[in-house]
Amino acid sequence: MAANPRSFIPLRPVEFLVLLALADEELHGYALTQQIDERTGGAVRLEPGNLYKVLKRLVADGLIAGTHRRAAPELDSERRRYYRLTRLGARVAALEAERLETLLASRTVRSLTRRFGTA
Amino acid sequence: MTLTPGWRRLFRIPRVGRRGIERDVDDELSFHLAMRVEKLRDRGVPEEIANAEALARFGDASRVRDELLTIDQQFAREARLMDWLDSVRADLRYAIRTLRRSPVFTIVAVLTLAIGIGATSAIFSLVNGILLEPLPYAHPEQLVSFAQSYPEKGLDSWQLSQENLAMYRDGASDFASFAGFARRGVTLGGEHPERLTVERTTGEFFQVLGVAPLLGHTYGNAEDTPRTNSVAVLTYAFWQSHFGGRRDVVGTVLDLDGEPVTVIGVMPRSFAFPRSDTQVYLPLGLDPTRRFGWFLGGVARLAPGVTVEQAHRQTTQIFRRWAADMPQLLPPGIVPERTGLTTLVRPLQSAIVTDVRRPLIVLQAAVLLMLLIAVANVATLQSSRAAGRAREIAVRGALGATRTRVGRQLLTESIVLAILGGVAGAALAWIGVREFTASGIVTLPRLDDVRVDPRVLAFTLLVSLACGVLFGLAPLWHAVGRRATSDIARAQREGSHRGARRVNNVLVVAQLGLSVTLLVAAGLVLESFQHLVRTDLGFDPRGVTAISTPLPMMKYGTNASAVPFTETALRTVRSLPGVRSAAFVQVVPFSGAVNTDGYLIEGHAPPSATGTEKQVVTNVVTPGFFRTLNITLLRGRDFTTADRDGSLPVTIVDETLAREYWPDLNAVGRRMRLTGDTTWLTIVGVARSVRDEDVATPSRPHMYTPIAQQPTTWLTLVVRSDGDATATTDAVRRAIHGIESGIPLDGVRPLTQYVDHALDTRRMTEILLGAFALMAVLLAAVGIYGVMSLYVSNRTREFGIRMAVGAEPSRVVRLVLSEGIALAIVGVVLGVGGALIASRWIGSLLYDVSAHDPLAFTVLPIALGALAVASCVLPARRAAKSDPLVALRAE
Repeated sequence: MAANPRSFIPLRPVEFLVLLALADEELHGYALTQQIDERTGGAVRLEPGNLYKVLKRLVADGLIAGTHRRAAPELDSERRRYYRLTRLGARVAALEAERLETLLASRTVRSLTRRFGTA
Repeated sequence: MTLTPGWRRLFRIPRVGRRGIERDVDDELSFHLAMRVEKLRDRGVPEEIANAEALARFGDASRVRDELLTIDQQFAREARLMDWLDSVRADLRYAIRTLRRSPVFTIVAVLTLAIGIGATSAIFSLVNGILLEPLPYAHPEQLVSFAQSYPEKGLDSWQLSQENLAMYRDGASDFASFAGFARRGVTLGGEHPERLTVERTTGEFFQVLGVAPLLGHTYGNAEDTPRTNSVAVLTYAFWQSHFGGRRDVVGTVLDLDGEPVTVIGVMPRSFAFPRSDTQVYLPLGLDPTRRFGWFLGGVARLAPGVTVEQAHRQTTQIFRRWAADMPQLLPPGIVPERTGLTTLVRPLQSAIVTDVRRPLIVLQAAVLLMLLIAVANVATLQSSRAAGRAREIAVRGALGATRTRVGRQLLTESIVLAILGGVAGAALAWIGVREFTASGIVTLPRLDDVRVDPRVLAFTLLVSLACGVLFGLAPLWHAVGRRATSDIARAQREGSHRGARRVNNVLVVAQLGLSVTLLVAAGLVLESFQHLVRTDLGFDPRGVTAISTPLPMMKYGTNASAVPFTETALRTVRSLPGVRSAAFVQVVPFSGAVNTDGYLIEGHAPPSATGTEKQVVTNVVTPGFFRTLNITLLRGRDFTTADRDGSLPVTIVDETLAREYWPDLNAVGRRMRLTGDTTWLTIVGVARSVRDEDVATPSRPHMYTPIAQQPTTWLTLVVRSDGDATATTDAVRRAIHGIESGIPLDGVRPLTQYVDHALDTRRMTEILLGAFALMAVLLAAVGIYGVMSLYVSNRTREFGIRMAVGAEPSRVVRLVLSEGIALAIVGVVLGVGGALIASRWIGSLLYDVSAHDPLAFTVLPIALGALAVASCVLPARRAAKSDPLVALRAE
């Protein structure tokens, strides 16, 4: 059962985004697309066709799971399933974040952003 | 199990089943679409365009649907597992809370179970270690024990001579290796000479068993030749006790019987063949030219792929070829093929445990019966609680718990109880087994292999779970047998309904029946044992001490020089205070050793054409032997010091032998001889027969010869003393050492101990079976009392009303008692039936007791039945005291 988190690195960007979105709260499919949309300033729009392909893969790998806790029935429709980050998923996300951090901290990246960045 | 929509919403359980999931998936997908359309509309896109746009952006809908389905199915599986685990956890919490609320019930139930399960596991440890666990040698299934047999000569199991050993070792290709071994005593020289128990083995001994030494190396055929007996392999225990486990022991030179012997190796701790008290292994010094002297036990390893049957065929051929060459062996004109000459090849494990298999299985069965009684007992306790808990259960039913749910809850409670009992039982078994194996009360083969190991623990767990389910059935019956919701009021009022009472009746009958069966079987075995203990052995071991006095070989090499020693020693010992009589004997009764030989009576036909040559047990004694052991001389005289080398060769025979030729026992003056010896011996006396091999089997014919005419250095001093045997023994030892300081005198045992050891297995069976039966009776009595009390308290209201309308209290007593008596009769009858079956099965354990012994079959069942009825008396009296007002007020 204990898969090695390192074996999942590097993640595809869209997978990393899903894990990040679920890091703070449990979300259902539609809310997930909204979150990612917001977080990327509209750069990444996950249409259902892609969304469920990614979710299926993450569920199968055990990085995310369904949740049994849901919002109160009167606040929400019972039809939707919520996703949450598993322990493994959280560790993989953290590892991926560390990897990106190291990558971004490199001198090349810094000089690139200084010379060609927008900020 | 279908759930109403309300339930589903309440617990937010996702729809299960393929259809439900599909509906959920479609809902979710349309939600996506709807949201998208709404967003577009908010931006002012017209309805139709928004719809088309949303659909276009959606992607391949059917693929998405499939993906969502896969996700959902996995979720549903996980959810089901989680739900189940949650409910189990809740059940466990509830069960533990309930049990803690009634500590007395819990403690009594757990203790009862602990005793039953503990005893069962302890006996299973014996069964497991002795019967089931493979021998601790490489490929144990290839190991066989080996002996020869010549039934016509009374040699049912005939050991091997050195010539025999070499011929099988070299001639039987079905064996990969073949070895012989013989138990010998040797004297370890030094300041305090000590007698060691030594196994002399042939070269391939260690190769057969396939065990590597812990230190150094073992010996092989090269070291096993005549007069090269100069190496030794130590057992682990001897290495520890005499060398403190020092690793540099290899190379040490020991003085064994005055010869220097070099230690070349130490065996690992688990190595205990053929017996665990062996201290040293020495090469036999095999001399294949030695045709006579059949003293070697045989053990062999089958060649790969060879069966026991094949090896038996091949070795029997070799054996018969050898016999054809032995004119002394066969009657004239008879070929070996016309005799019963055969070899005995048996799987080693079954050969080792053959004597204890039946007793162990009987004990295991007995202890399982006891466990069943314990289970019935706990079931009774459970029932009484279930009746009291009827209200609680009815309330839970009214609140919507299904019967299965309530049933599962109750079963969980029972299983928790059973596991607690199992844990306590395993602890009891562990302590019991440790004490039992360390105590040395009995000597069983493979006792060293007996321990509470993982297999025993797994067995314990399994037994505990089975118990839990069994006694869990009673409360289940109570709970599920009743209609749930409408009964709250009635449940409270009427603890016992018809179904519950039936359960209780079954419990009473079962407990009584099982304990009658067990008690009768135990009674038969106990009676047998009493008969055995009281069996007239023909001699009186009480007050006799046996001191083994092996004479140093070097000094007494010519056996004849032993005679003056015995005469001086006996003169000195007999003059000691407290000594009534003393004598030397070659083979002590029940020492396990026995010498036999063929014999001829003068004037009677020599071995007939059928090859039946009679066998006689021979023994060598000094004058005074018969008086010391209190063996009556029926005719003639004892040996005297006048019977010496050169005088008339004489012998004393026993009644068994004499009766065969001279029914009036007038044997004195007749002559007989051993077939291997041409000297005729004149019979000077007839002694009473003694049982000196086995208490349970009648004595074989015996003949005694005086030591002066048959010298030997292999001697044991037997001393009958008055009063303090220990003080006398000390004086005797000092006296013997005063005469000959080279004799190790550590083999001192009361003669009764030899006899006791012969009864070890039977004693173990008797003690344990008796204990189990007693325990069973106690448990059953408590259980029956419990059921009857329950029965009365459940009918308090009815009795109260009966008396309120004028029934005499005595009538109520009679009512309760008659119910109890009816149950007792059914239980006893069933129990006697069970005992009849059991007694046939334990027939081989019985001695001098019929399997239908009237005493055991009448007295014990009646006594138990009476006990059952007696345990109804108290509840009946209580019933008669039922106060009508109290009973009715409880409404």
